[in-house]
Amino acid sequence: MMLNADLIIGGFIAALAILAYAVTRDVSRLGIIFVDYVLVIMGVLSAVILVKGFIKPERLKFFESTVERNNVVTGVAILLVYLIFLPLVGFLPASYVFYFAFNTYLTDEDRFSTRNLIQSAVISFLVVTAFYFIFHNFLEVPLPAGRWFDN
Amino acid sequence: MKKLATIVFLMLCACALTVPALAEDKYPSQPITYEIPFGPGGQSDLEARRQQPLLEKELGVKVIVQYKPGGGGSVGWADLIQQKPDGYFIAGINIPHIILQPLARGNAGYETDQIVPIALFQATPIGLAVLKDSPFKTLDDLVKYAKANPGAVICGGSGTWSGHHIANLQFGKMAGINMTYIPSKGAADSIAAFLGGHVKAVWANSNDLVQHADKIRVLAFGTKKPFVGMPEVPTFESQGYKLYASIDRGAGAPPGTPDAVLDVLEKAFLDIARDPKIQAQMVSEGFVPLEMGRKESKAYIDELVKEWAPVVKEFKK
Amino acid sequence: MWDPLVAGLLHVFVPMNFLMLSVGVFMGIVFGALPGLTATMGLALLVPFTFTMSPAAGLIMLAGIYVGAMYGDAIPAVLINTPGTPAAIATTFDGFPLTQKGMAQHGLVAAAFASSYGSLVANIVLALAAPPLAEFSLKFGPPEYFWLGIFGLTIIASLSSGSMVKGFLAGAVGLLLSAVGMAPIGGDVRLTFGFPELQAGIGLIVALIGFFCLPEILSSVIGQRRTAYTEKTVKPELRVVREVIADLLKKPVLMLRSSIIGTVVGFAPGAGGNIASMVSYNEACRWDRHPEDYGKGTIKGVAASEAANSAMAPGSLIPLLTLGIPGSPPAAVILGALMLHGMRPGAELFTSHAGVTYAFIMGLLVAAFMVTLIGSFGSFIFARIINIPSRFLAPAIIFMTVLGSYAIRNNILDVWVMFIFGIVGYISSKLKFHPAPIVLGLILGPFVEEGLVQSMLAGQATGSVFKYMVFRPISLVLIAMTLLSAVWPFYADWRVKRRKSVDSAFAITNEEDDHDA
Repeated sequence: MMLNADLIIGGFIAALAILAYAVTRDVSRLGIIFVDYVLVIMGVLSAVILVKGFIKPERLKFFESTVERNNVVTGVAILLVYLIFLPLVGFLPASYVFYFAFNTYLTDEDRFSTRNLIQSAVISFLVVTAFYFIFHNFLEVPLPAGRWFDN
Repeated sequence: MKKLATIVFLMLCACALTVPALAEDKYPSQPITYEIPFGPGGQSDLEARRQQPLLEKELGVKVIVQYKPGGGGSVGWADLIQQKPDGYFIAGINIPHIILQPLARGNAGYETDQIVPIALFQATPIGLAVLKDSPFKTLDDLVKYAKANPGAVICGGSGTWSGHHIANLQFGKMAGINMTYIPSKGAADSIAAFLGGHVKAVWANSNDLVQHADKIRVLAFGTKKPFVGMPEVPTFESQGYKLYASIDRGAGAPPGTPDAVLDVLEKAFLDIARDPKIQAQMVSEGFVPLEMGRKESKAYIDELVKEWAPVVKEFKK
Repeated sequence: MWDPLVAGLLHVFVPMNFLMLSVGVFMGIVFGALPGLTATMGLALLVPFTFTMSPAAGLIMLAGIYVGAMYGDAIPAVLINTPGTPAAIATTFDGFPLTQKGMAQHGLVAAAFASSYGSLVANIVLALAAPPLAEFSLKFGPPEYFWLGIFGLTIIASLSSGSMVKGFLAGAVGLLLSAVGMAPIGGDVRLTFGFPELQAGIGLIVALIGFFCLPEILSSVIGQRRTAYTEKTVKPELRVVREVIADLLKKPVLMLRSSIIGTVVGFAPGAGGNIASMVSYNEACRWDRHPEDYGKGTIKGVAASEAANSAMAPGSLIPLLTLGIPGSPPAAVILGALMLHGMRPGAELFTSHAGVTYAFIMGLLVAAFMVTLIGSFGSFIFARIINIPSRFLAPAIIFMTVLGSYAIRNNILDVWVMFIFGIVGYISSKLKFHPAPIVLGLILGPFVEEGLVQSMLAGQATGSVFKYMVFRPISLVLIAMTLLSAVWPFYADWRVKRRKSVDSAFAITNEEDDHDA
């Protein structure tokens, strides 16, 4: 899909500036100075880019192919699921499943063969558990617990 | 696909094994999380570290110090009130922060009365200081000059709607003067600005004032009796201004924590606060040890809320 | 004068202390290397361990951690385009291209050696000139921080190869993002859209991980199914270590300049090393005879960045040890450790506690040497990590960054921020809108805002804001540097064009000569 990069960037940032302007009207005198200056700069520069977008636009292809698009969308979806379930089931379970899923997905040859699936599961278990021990037990870093398993 | 399903099923079984064990009966029987709503290295952190080994000894369980900084402490306290009130999660609390933040901000994430105080163990009186070579030799000099030149006296401090800011507002009202308050992000920054001469006077914590005592002159402290670390400095009260300003540190628990649990925690913290070695350490660093238990702390907080609510309302434009 | 230094050195080599130093350096490297974990966190976690040790042993260990972390953050920067801490952002600019070319070991060794070099120079400065420099650092007031921030922002001009408008636009977005959370002055809560956790603002580290790490994975590993992070398998050799070190030693100007920049930025209280490495990188690029090398994978870029960010560590300790004012968050933790051991910063530290203090300073020095050793030999192991196929490496990286993002502030929102920034970073790079200026804005925003508003308040009190902000010695220097820096890209362009037209003019003349003859 050929996109006009300038219009997209300019338009998005202009919208962002307007949104930020709208929600900060209740800020005190001292807190708003900086924000206002920055919003002005954003407004002016995004206007410049928008103008350029109409006169001499920079057109580019976002995804090289539909294959690439599907890949990225699937990858993002897996990541999204991981993050949603992370606070719900807890760090360890979510990470096991994520690593397993991601690793399996990235394997192009014989993706669903028994051998590959077992390899994924085992490596997932080893890597995640190892890091868990290092972070949680050794470094005593706090990790998300699971809300569904709270008693 | 069937193979995939089997593997996933096995993995979920493995996951179920990682579910934490059920809690046991006598408190405390599990590690306790002691959350500090500030970053590591700060005074609240140091106090927690000072207490940690003694808490572990007295309570018999591990005490894990965790940090959850942000919003001057508000993110940590917003988190505290959502935790389970089973005594296994406590946090450091700071006065006046937990009072002023909900008053001054629309939504701080918590309300003052949602935090259940366990104890207050440290007071840091706030003093007003100038550099040794400043033309202001006494508080009166400063007030006279400020009256003649409104807004010309630049005063530093830490934070907006903080203990320092409120002290500046209250003092300004009492003395009928207008001092320009320029806040820095933290105590260290405000002291650096002060020592570098970028502000003419500073509202500072007693421990910072003690540390730099040889370079500064403290005009007054906001205590009822002269500050033990610098007894020659007069109080605001003795000079005619009923100004009491201090940063106090303590510990708090989520709302709904049972009394039996709170009693155990209170005893632990008070025992540490009464330890002469700890008290001596605090004094040498420029702090005032406190031994306020649950009831005393709650009364103190309620009193301060009554005192400051109108001040905040008046000055918040 | 040398006595206390020698005594300190001997103290370091006491077996127990030396062991602690080694442990510290190792832990520091680990904390620096894992994205999400920082030097500050490492120090905070290990301070309690120091209670049971003698003050000297404890502080020496902390010295090791600090120095180690300043090198450790280069490892992921080089290998997976993810700065281990914000101080290593500039290391990714040339470090990752090196890995992509199959020269990961070059990058790692350059980082190790440059880190040691920078640390060494800064330590010498610290040991010799700490008190006067500390007094100088106090002269940095609100206007100076403002101009320092603005100067930092002009770096955007050189970072945005291509459209400067887009670069500054990105910088402005970064500035706006830095405003999310509490206003430094005024205490207002801004742009939190009802999420109390956002009062903490947008975490810099999570934004970095999002901008640098995820887009690379999304585009190469997922999108284009590249099986490994590097084009050629990395085969570490001892020859590389020798070559890189020799190469860098032949460039004393580059190394010294980077180290000095790091030391100076380090002791301006609060400025921290986050911008030291970028300023140094920018200057290295500016004064090099072949600036076009930068950004494509040259050890010069890695060295410039790493020397500066390691020099920052001792630099930030200067105001700490002499005045008790920490120049950076890790320094604040070390201050805490000093206080807990009953040692108060100031003259007292160099007199009654001289033994421990100089042991600490010498510990920093020895740790610097250890970094070259560990780094060079470690490079054999680390560089091979990149050979692991991405289908194993990428999920591990993602899950580690998720872990790290949560661990920083114990806040699940931070993980989401990282994810969102990852998507934004991916889209931006696809649209040729580079994320580096956004990060610069995010880092410098607080400096610019605080400096601006504080100066305005003070200026209004003293009469003229303009006069207050401009007519001060340090500010004038900074303003001059800012103007120079802003104008330079145009000058550089003009110079290149002029040379081209002169060359073509010569060509025409020569042709005519030929014809005449």
